[in-house]
Amino acid sequence: MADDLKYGYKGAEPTQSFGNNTGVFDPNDINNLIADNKWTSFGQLELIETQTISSGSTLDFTDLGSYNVLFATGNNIETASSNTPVSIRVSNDGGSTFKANNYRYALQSGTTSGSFNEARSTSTTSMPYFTSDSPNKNRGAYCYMYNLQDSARYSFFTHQSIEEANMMFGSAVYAVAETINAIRFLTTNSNAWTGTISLYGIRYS
Amino acid sequence: MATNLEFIKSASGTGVTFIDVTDLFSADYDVYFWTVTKADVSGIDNMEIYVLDSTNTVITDSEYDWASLNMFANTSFTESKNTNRPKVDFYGKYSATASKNTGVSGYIFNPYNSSSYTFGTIQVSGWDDGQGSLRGNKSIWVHKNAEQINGIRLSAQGKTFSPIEVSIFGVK
Repeated sequence: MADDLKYGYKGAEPTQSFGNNTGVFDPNDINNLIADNKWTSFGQLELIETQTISSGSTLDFTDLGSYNVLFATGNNIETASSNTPVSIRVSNDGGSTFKANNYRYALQSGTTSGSFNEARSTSTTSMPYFTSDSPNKNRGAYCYMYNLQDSARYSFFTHQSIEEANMMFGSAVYAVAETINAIRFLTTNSNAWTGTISLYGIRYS
Repeated sequence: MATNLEFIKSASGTGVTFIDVTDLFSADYDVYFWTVTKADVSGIDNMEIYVLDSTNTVITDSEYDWASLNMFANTSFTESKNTNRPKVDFYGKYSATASKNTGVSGYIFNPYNSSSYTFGTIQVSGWDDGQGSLRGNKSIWVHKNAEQINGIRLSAQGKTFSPIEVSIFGVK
């Protein structure tokens, strides 16, 4: 399309922004506006990838898209082993290696029987409790992840999970300011687990 | 029914002590999701939130109750709470160091319904400069006057943001 006819306009082009697109758009216009976060498209919880693990101990996501805030859900997560939570580690080399230090966490747990406890650490090898850790119990979880792709900021996590009669919620940090471009869901004791993880990006975050 | 987040608007400011997000709520949604995508602050201080009335004027009447669990990575947890306050005084702390700020997200319920109180939940993962470690917060709040709410104000007890950025979504 000639430069003097963009969005169907001759001469001065209308300013485009989310919720305020003006003109007639060809596919290239739409693709360019999407890339610039200027195309109006409702539905900003964008699925990056869903993966299911049926054996082994690690599940890697090496495409994080380009988002300030990521959101992960886990469902039907189970393990036959005790003391086996599903944890999260981050990578700065596209998933070739995953960081195993500089994490801190604090979380609150509770049970329907009335037992509530706090857990914390200033030195762990992962974001340690995406899910809780009891054997043979079905678990569900979600986690928000902030600033992973911002080289100047720490990576922060907020999460909540449920395991039959147990719940937990908390916060965690990978306390290194660097660009994270892959994440791994894993059991740090290498015990096998099963389940499905979906990773979403929150566009315009 | 498909469920998704629908972007409504973002707002940003630099060199400001607060940011108002006006004409934010509508009859299109009952539930809203918001996240602070950047917040660099001139000093350590509390995260605060107000609501704006139907004319986008900040409400500072003593109509807010809130409670927050302070979760520290290095020491025992504590509780913070208050009632009949002129704002939600506290749902976390900003660090004075840019690289240590921060993960904040929350939900707001029924703001546009003039017959209902406005309720909120907030979760924060951040850095407590006083503790020198991770600080998480899980909070609830209510603006306990049934009226139409049009927006929110974010502030930090008079500290200057350079910058602050927030995005708000409707939950469908």
